[in-house]
Amino acid sequence: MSLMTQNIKALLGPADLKQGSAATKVKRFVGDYGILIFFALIVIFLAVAAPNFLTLNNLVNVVRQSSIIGLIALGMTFIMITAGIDLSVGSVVGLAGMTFALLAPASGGAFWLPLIVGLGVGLLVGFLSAAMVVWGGILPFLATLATMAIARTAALVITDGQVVSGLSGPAEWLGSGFIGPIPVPVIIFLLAALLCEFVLSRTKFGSHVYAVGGNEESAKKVGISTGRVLFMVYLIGGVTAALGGLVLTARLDGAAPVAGTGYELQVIAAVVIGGTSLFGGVGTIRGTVIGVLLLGVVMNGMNLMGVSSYYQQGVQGIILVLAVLLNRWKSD
Amino acid sequence: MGMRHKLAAATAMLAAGALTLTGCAGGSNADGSTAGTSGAASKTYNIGVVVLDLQDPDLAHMTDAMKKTADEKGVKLNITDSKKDVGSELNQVEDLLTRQVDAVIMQPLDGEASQNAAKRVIAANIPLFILSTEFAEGSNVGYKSYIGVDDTVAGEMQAEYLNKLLPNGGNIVFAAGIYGASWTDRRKSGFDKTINKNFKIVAEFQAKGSRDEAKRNMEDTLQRFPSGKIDAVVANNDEMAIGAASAISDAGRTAEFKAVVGVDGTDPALKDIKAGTMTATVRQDSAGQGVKAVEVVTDFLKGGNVENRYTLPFTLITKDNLSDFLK
Repeated sequence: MSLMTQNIKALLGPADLKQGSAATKVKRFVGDYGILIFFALIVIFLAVAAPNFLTLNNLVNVVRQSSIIGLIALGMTFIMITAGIDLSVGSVVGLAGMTFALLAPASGGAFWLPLIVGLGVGLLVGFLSAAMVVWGGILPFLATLATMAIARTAALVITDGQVVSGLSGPAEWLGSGFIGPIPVPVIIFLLAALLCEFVLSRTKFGSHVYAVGGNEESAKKVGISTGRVLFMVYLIGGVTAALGGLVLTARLDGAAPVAGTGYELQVIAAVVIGGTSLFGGVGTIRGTVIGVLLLGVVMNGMNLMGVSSYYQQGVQGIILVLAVLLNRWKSD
Repeated sequence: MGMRHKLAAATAMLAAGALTLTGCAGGSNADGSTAGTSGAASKTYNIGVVVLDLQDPDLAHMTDAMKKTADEKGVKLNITDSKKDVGSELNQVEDLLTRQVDAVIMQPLDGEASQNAAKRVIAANIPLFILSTEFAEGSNVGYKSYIGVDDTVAGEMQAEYLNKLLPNGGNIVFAAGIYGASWTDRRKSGFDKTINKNFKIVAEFQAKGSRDEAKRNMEDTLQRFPSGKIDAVVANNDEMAIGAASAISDAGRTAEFKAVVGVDGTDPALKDIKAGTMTATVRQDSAGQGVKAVEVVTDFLKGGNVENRYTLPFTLITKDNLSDFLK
């Protein structure tokens, strides 16, 4: 077993560089904390430039807004560390949210049923993607492009394209409720992030995820069941996307079959900003959480400053480029 | 990873592919063409319909109403979806021309860019009817009739409502749809022209017609403006008005807003007016427009005379006349 752990460590890249010049030390510091520094600078800038930014009320507001993209990004991080991608998450948001909204009023007090069925829908779509990737040997990009279309079709067909409005009280609480001063979506996001952080950085499964993304063939050679690892990450991705869909539906007190359209790109951007590599093997949940918050804070700050929405997407694009450059410089 | 797994996966893919294909074709009418053999006297007309976005709840509703009318009138509709993209709009039109439909009902996506597709229909000598969205002003497309509304009027009615409700004016937050889309531009310009000078738009965001984006933007806007700094929200459609209203009620600030007004008159919006989170909407009868279009085209194909323009009215819905529309 210890031999296997060693092998895995070897796969993860060269051992830490213990020594180095002052220049490499600076570079390593910036590399490790760069995105955090970047985030801090933006927060400081907004605290000065945007009135009302640094109020408790607004900070709670930003984290609540970010929690949906954040939940989806947690699962996406696992998938992208295996060098995969999941384009279906936006459609899963729509489909899981729709299922939840359809069941939530009917079941009245039974709040658990719609919740479980909604999450089950996410698992199902994740399973379909994984089956195509693992058993069919189809590229994740194409497999999840297919599940993206299928899940969206399902969401449109079950309600014939109509919006479902009006949830039962407990279901609505999921989106607009508070525990103490903290909104429920924020609590869900934090708990999920802590769990994912633990799984990815402290468990054997977590190290297998990195190993599969670092080099799938070598991972097989050291005895990792790569198929099982890949299956797991797409299931995780499906569940977190479904959870995001449930929270979104609860927040809007209704579900539109087109809800979540385009979320996959926002999520991928946030994960990449957080330092996860599209080529796999690299990434952390901590980084993803910062990536998500960074994008959320920037959008909120621009709204507070009254920046025209013409410019808002462009600013997001510039941040993405800067983050990618930072990450590449770090790994050079 | 045995052969069996590969086979199973291949089958799954094929099934998935078939699903996707039927998903795409689901919009068009199911059975092939069988009519026409039963004699010239009872020829079944095939009418091609190009809807700009079948994923829009209001338009899905309209399409259902059109199918029903077509069944009653004994004509057959081939409904296609432009999916909000002028490229696929052109493809859909070309496919309809290949299928040699007897007439085309088109809901142009873009006031300028969609003219190309429309001119293909005319060049193929197939009568063209325009439904619910118009070409840019001053353009010259030789269609038989326009059936729909004038979106400018919807914006004007929103402004008149505010002018009357708050004669001394106030501060407005404006939720715009998609800049450049004709429904957004016309509703917005109608509003801007009509609103009286005492009003001021203190913030404007583009929420692309979505409840989700409107809610997020409105939450930020509420952070920006403390109590008493905003009097009204005007949205280019109901979904955005609902999103904004929900942000306002979550913040416990419903009482500050004298008006939250949308356009469309959808059921969820009517519920919000009843609950008091929205105050008004301007209803456009999308289903009515679709039905009228099918009727006009059928008349035309059977040799009747049709007018160049059928404009259907908007209705302002507030708490006062809500009961007439609530189901």
